[in-house]
Amino acid sequence: MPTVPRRDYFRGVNPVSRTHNVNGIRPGRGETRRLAGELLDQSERVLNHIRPLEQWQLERATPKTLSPSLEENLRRIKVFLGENADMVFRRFSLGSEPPVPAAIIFVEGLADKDVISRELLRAATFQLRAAPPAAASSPARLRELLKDTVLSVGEVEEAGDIDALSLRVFTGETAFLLDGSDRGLMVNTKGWEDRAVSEPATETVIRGPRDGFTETLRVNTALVRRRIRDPNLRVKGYKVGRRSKTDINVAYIEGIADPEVVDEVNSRLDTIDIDALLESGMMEQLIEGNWLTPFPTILNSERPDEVAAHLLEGRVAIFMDTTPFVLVVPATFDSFFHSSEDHYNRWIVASSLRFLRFSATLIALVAPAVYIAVTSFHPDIIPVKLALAIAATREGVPFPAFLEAFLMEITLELLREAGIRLPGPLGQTIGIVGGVVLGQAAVSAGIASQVMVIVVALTAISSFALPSFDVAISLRLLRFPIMLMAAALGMFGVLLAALAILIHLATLKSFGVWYLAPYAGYRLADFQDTVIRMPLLSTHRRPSFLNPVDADRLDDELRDVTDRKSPETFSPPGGDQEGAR
Amino acid sequence: MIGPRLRTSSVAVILIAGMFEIGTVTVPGRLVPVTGPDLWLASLLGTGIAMGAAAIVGRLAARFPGRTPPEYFRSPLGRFLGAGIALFYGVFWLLQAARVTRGTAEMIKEFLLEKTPIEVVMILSLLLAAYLVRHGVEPLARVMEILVPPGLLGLVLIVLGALSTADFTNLLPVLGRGPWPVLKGALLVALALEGFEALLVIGAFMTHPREAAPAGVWAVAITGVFVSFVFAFVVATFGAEETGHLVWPTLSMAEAIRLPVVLVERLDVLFVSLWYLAGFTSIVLFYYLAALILARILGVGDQQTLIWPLLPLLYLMAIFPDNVLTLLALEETLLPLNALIMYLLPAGLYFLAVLLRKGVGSRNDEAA
Repeated sequence: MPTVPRRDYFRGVNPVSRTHNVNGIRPGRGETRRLAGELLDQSERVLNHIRPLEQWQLERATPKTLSPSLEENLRRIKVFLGENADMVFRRFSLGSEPPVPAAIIFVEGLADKDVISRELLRAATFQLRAAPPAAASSPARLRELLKDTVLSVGEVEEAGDIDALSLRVFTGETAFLLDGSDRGLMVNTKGWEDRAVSEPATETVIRGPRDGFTETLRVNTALVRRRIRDPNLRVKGYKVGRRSKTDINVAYIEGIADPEVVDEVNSRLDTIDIDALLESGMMEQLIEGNWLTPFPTILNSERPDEVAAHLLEGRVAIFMDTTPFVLVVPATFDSFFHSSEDHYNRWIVASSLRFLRFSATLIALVAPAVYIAVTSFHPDIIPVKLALAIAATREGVPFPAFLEAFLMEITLELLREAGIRLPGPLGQTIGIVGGVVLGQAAVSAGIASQVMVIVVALTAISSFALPSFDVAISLRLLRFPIMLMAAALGMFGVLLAALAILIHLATLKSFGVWYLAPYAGYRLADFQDTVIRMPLLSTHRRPSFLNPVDADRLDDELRDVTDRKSPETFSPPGGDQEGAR
Repeated sequence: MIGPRLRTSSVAVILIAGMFEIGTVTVPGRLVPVTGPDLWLASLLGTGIAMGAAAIVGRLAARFPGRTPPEYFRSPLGRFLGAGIALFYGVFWLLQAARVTRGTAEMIKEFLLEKTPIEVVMILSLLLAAYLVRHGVEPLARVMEILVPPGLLGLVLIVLGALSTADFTNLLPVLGRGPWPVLKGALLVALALEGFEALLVIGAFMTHPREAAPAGVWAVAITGVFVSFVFAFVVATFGAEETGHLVWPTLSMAEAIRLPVVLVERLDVLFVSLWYLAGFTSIVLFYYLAALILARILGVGDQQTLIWPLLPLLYLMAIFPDNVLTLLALEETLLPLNALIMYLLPAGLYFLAVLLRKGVGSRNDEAA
């Protein structure tokens, strides 16, 4: 601002001095009145020719505080907020003797008009008449009266300057200004159009609650608090984004979450200095520790039950307004293979599913590479008959195995991307057309072998079997360098690539927790919820790598249940089965 | 100094990963002429000797918690002699890293990539090792913790696959040539278990430095038992006579295994991969030790400074032998060096430290 040169607002010569100069005489009494009238006329005429002030000059000249005058306040607010089509300035008067001018300011679409007309306008105009005149004798007392007794809305607070007032108006509150009072009342009338709580599209489960987060922060935090009524569940508020002023809430359970992780989250949120945050994915990129890795180091979820489970394990959740994706830290590589359903199914089923998912990871990552390595380097390691069968299907294929695999995998990625972009039913069509028709055509045209089509289909299915889209997409990416290594060095190349990925994973940390925990570290109790999900009754402790303050999950009394002999537990009370037979 | 922190189990796993390397694949071929069918006995006995030495190394490291050899060798020896011996260790570890790099690359060339130049394999292995070493001892421990248990399990499973071809009468007669060949073989096995002397450095990063000796002893014991198990199967498969003629007896055994039902018919690719991983972890460990200790001697910070300068040196040392037989011969001639590094020097230093009352556990421990 200071770099802009200060311009002379008044073009031409000062009209007042010109009048004096032209007449050049000392005016008499009657003359004075006439001259004064002329002067006023002239000055008005001249003032109309004054170039309007630039916006920054106006803003500099206008104080950001509220004054006792309603007119002045409205002018000031208009100076800072400008003329907006979606803002409503409604003037009215309160009381009768004497009527006090008042105004409300709100944004259409963010504020609930029903609440405003019913609880605010009607209450203020009618109920105030019923109040004793003495109670409304001064503007300050009138304000108190309104705040304490008249306005029947959940939250009413005071605001003293225009910044605070405008920010709150833009979050959907209504500003209530009274003549004679230099403080405005902020009434919570938030009520914008919102998507209803519905089943999340990304993390579908068979067994489990059907509610998912929405785009409204308060709804999301409420969904989690419904599940954890612990008074120790803390929800700390932040505003991030210089222009967007996005609401961010950090939730954790005091007494479980590691205070160091909470501090780390707070300090990383403090470092964010960006104009606007539009989705939690942007925040994720700003607070993650390592932005050079293909792997996500922060969990995200649309499911309140999953976030609640993470909080109860000692993690920290970061809610952001305007997005249903809630971030959870610290993340471990293992946690991306968990589905909230695992904890609702019985442990044998859940463990088998976990095992299946880890196998799927392996297939999605190396299946095409192994195909390349085996067909072009070591056909001798598979049984002769199989080797011959593969060789027979590759008979007419003009490309080397690498090119064949590469082309097919690229086609698959194209199909997938096209399927996402197309609207619902069309996307499925693309899948069928691409998958079945293209695959069949490629084989009969002799461009790819049948085995290759099987391998590609297998990798696709496997990568869909992973619960986390973030990990699935990084595995899809890493598949290509591994294929390249396999084409260059055979199985040794695959081994080297896998080793490189392992080393990379071993160097990663997420908010102070090693990414590979608990696989490296050898604490037996931490393995209870990894590849195998141990029976719920035997999971007594929280994962120690999260460094929870309170490590115990199950009470000692409950622990006795596991020691109980099962016949004793399940025999009907007092029933004698032998006799009944 | 608040540096990296390692749990006792991590230290043991690092030592196991360091001791399992390509040398243990070639040992049966070298030692069977000495011991005859009693190789497994010699190996167990050698393990016992090495356990004793590991205990001494552990005690020595525990006397100087939080300090690496260049810093604590001077305590009983004086500044220049201490630095000299530390330098000796650094060069030894560099040699070991080069030897394992070459041996592993030779194995890959022999069994997986006949046509690929060995330089490619070596350069890739070294680059990958440098990548891990750069990140320090904690990620190194993590990688090894993840590789070692499935590695050992895979080793046992594959070796059990040899049950069909193994003939255990080949192990008879026990002590047929009298006890002396076995004792001599035991000494040679004890020398071939290089790796546990890493405790001298790694002990400095332990959360509980007093547990350095148990960690070392356990690591040697576990490695020794597994190695003896493998040796017994190798000799049982080929017989003492034939084993002596093989360069890679352990791998030849895996090559002989045929599994009729499984998708993968030949297990030697898996087995070679396993030994490559074993070799790789040893390269990483020795590379790390050399880089760290040389950097500390020169006073240029941690291992990170010397990773890239040492890489070409390591490569040149590894490429030096003409072929795998020269490599093995070179290894043989350097065995006295192993005796010095792994047994004599730590023992001497330990007793000197005890006599001069240097380090923790003596009267003037804080001053030392």
